[in-house]
Amino acid sequence: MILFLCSPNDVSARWFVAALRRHHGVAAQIITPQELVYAPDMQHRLDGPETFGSVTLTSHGRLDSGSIRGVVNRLEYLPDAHLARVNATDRAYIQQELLAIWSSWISALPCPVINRPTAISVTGPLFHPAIWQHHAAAAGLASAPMLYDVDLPDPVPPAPVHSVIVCKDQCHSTSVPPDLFRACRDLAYYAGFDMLEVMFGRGPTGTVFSHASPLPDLSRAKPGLVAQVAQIFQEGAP
Amino acid sequence: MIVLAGLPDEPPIARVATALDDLGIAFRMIDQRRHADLHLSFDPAGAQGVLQGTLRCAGEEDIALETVTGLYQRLHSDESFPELCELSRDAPARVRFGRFVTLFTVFSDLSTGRVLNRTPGMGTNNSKPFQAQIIARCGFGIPRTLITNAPDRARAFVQEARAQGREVIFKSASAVRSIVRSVTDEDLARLDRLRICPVQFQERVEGRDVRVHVVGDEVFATRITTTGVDYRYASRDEGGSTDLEPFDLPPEVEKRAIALSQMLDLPLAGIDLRETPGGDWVCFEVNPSPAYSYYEANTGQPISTAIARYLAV
Repeated sequence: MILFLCSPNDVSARWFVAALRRHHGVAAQIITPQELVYAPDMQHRLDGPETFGSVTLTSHGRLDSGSIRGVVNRLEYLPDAHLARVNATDRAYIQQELLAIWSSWISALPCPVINRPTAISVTGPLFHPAIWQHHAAAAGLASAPMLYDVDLPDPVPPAPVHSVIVCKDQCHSTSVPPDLFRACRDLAYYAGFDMLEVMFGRGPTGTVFSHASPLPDLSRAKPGLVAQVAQIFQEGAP
Repeated sequence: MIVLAGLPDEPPIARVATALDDLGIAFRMIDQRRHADLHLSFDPAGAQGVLQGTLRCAGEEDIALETVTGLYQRLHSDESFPELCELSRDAPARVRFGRFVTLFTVFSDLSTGRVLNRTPGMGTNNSKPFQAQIIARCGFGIPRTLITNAPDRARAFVQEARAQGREVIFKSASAVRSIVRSVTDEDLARLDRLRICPVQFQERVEGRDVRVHVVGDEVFATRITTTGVDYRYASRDEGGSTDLEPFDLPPEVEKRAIALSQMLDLPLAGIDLRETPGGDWVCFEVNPSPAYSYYEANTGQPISTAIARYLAV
C-alpha cells in the first residue's frame, strides 16, 4: 500500500492521489494524522538493527511496516484534541512524546518515504527562514539582502511569483528558467528533503529566492511529477 | 576567535574557560545574564554564502561573526532567569531574550567554525527511538523496545520478558527528562492509561554502566557503579550511592563511539553504555549537551581540556 500522510484539508494531496490512480494505476491512500494518533492499536518495536511497526486504523484496518510500499509524508502537526481535559504540564509532555514516537515510527519504515521526519519535526528538517536564505545562497540562488537583528522585526522575503517542485533529482516547473534547476536540486539536497517547493520573487536586480516548503502545492504539479512519484513507488526506488 | 556562551559559572562552561586560560588560548565569554546588553545582527547569505554579522556586548569589543572559529554554547531558556520569569510572556524584555537565543542558534548552525553542538545533531535526542535506530546502525546493541498504546501488547511484552527472567522498565521517548522505572504489578493494573499516549517499554539490560564522552576524536570513558536503576538519581534513595572511575574501553568500542558521535553530528557527545555480563555493549542514548563536569570532577579525566583543544584547532 502507498500512503499519503497529510491533513484532512490537504486538497492538493487528494488531487495528486487521484491523478496517480487515474494515470498510473497507483492505488495510494490518504491517511490523516488524526487516524494515526487516535488509532486504537499501534506498536513500534526495536530489536537491535531490526524494527517493526504496525498501526490499526479505523478506516483501513491494520497496516504493518512490511505491507507499506511507499509513503509521501506531508504531515505538519499531530493532533491533540484528545488532550483537551489534560492539565497543561501533562499535555505538553504527551505532545512531545507523540512527536518523538510517530517521527520514529515513520522514519523506521523500510519502504521509500518521500520526506522522512526528523527527531524534532514530523515534517522533516525544520529551519529558521534565515537558514533557508543561507542554504539558498550556498546553492547559488540569488537572494535579496536580508538583515536579521535582535532589535528589529524579521525581514520579509519577496512575495513568491514563480515556483519549482524538486523531487529527488528532477525539477518540475514551467515558470522557472531551467538554468536554476541545478541550484534548486542542491538546495533540496542541503536541506535534506526529497521533495521541496522552491519559490522565487522579484528582487531589485531580478528573480531572487523567496522561500521553500516541504509541502508543495501539489495541485500545481505537472504530469511529469505525477509520473515520477508513480515510478518511485512502482520501482521501490530508495 | 573562540566564544563560550551561557552562564560563566555553570560548571561545564567554567571548566572550559579555565582550561582555555591554562592553555593560554584567548576567548570571549558571552554571559547570558547580561542579556539586555547583548546584541546580534547578521546577513545569513553574507558573502558567497558565508554568514556575516556582529555580536556585541555593551562595553566590550564587537565580535565579527565570520571570525568565530570555535563556539561552545550552553544557552538557557528564559525560565532560568528569575527577572524574566516575573514578566508576562509578551513583555518586550522576554521577547527580546527569546529572539536573541533564536538568532544566536541560527548563527551557531551556520558558523563555519567548530561548534559544540549544532541544532540538527542536538535534535536527535528529542526522539529516543529515532536516535536508537542510528545507534543500532553504528553497531551498538540497544535494549529490546516496545512502544505501544495497546494494553494487551504491553502486558504480553512484560510477561514474556519476565518469563525469561528479565525486568522491564519504562521511560520517556522524548527529550523530556524522566526517571527510569521498573514496571510493577501495580503498573500492569493501570495499562488502560496507555490509550491516551503510547509508552516506551524496554527490557532491562544487566551489566555495568560506562559513560563515554567523545570530544572530536578523543574518548573519555567513566565506569559507574550504582545502587539505583538510574544512576543519576541513585543518591535520592536511602543508602543509595554512585561511584565513578576512569575506564579503558576496548579499542573497537572506542571507534564505534567516535563513529556514533560523527553520525549524529555531535562532536561533543555523552554516550550512555552498559557492558553486559556476556561482553556486549549496549547503548541507551546519546546526550547532545552533556554535563561532563560531573564526571570530570569525580575522576580527574581532562575532558574540559580536550574541549578547549578541540575549539582551538
